[in-house]
Amino acid sequence: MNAIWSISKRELRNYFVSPIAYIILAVFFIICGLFGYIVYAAKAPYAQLIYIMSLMTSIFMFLSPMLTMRLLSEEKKQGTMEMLYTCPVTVAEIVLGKYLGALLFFGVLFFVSLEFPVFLMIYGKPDLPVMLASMLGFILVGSTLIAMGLFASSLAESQIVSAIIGFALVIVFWVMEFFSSAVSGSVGNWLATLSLSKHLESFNKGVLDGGDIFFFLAMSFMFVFLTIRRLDWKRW
Amino acid sequence: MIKVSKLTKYYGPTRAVEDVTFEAEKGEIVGLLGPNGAGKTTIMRMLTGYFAPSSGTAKIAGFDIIEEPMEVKKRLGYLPEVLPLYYEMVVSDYLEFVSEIKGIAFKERRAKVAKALGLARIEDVKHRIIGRLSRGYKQRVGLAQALLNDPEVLILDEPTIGLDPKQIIEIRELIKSLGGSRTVLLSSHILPEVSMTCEKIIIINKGRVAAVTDKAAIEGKDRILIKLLGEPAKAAAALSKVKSIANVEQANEGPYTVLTLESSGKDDIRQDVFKAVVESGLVLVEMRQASHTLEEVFLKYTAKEEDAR
Repeated sequence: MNAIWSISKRELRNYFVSPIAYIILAVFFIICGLFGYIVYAAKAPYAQLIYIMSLMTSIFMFLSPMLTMRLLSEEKKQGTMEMLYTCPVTVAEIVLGKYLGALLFFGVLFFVSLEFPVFLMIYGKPDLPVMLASMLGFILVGSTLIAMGLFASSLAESQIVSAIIGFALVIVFWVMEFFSSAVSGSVGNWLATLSLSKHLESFNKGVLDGGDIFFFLAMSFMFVFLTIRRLDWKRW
Repeated sequence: MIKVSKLTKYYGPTRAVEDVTFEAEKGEIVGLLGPNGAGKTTIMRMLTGYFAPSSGTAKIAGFDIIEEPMEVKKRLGYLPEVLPLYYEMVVSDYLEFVSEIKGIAFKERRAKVAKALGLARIEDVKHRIIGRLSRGYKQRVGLAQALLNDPEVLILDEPTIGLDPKQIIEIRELIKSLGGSRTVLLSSHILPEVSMTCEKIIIINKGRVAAVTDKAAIEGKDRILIKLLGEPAKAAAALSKVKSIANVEQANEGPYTVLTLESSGKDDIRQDVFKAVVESGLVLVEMRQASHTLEEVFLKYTAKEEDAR
């Protein structure tokens, strides 16, 4: 347990020693701010968080592979994985520590993004339940994207390769609905249920659907689990 | 302390290590000697639990590496060939992190880090960023990391690679000072490196143990090189009087004649050689014990192995 916390603490600190944290935060908020302004200026006076939230989600979708590409690839390349493996910690602890570290960074990003709802509350009267639901949706989809990126990072030693694989995974699960329409019958329906964007719809309507919440948690769990299996398998 | 039995590792169909068996007692410094690609790193990685053996097993400090890997890892310090350092971290933060990972209790942490800094002699750089240290210091930080948990067994993979001669001597002294209470297993592809630090030497060739031998056998106490001024024929005649010379090789080096003598017995023949040379009226300008080269040692042991089959 302590090992998980140590690894995640180091991970979070590592983000802020390298320029990556600042670049991701800057890019994220510049684009969100800019597009957000355009959207709210054009779509005019609706005090709804949904516009900026869906913007944040799609921008984070593009940025998440950059956030996660380092996680395991760098350890492998630097040779520090050899130390972690030969210390009295389990592979699961290493992976969970890494995941938690990236989640903490996502937490920082989310915390800064609270400026949007705060401004909305100051200048308008947004529908509070809808706002909170869409924020929860953002957190859930963010955690899932990070879990996917973590898995991608376990596949390659090169960060660039990890980022590309991660990005491909994210895109595939994002537009799964599109694929599903090409496949008819039950397979198509089944594919549609794997779509990230489809499960996000309910949150943006202000509905807390237990099934959708479970979907994101299960997806995160699955990718973390796959990462652990992948690393374990490589050692045997 | 270390008991390896029939350790075997295949990478897919490729055999990396086969049937490796050896032992190391408490307090011993044991060297794995072999050319690059002989399987030294693979052996060490199996012992440290980096990956599992295909078959066979080993016991470290009484615990089986497959049955109880966590117990083994708690008692082990490992310095991989590629230094496991986070270059963006400060030395003391890095050691703090590793001690957390190694499960050292919060109360003891500060003392253990201080002790490791002292043992590796890096107190003066503890506030510096690892990436900016010289190679020699990085090596020591790696060593400090391995020493953090007061390991009973220390496994060092090529600990002197990439260092300059002065640093090599320092690290060698450091390793020697670590022996005694700990069992040290180190690897190298450089013969003098192993013969200078280790009492027991295990020669690895093509994934197998070619020989288990000791320092004296490798250092070549039985070979003497002499350099003479004078007629070579006279020298040969003079040396033929010395009894236990088994083999003489002759070479010319400018005006000098260089002879490599191999003694057949265990007695020191230097006195007899000196007297014989002087009596024959030749001038002796140099005499020393000639160590074997790695190639010679290999030929010697691998040839023996072939004969045995």
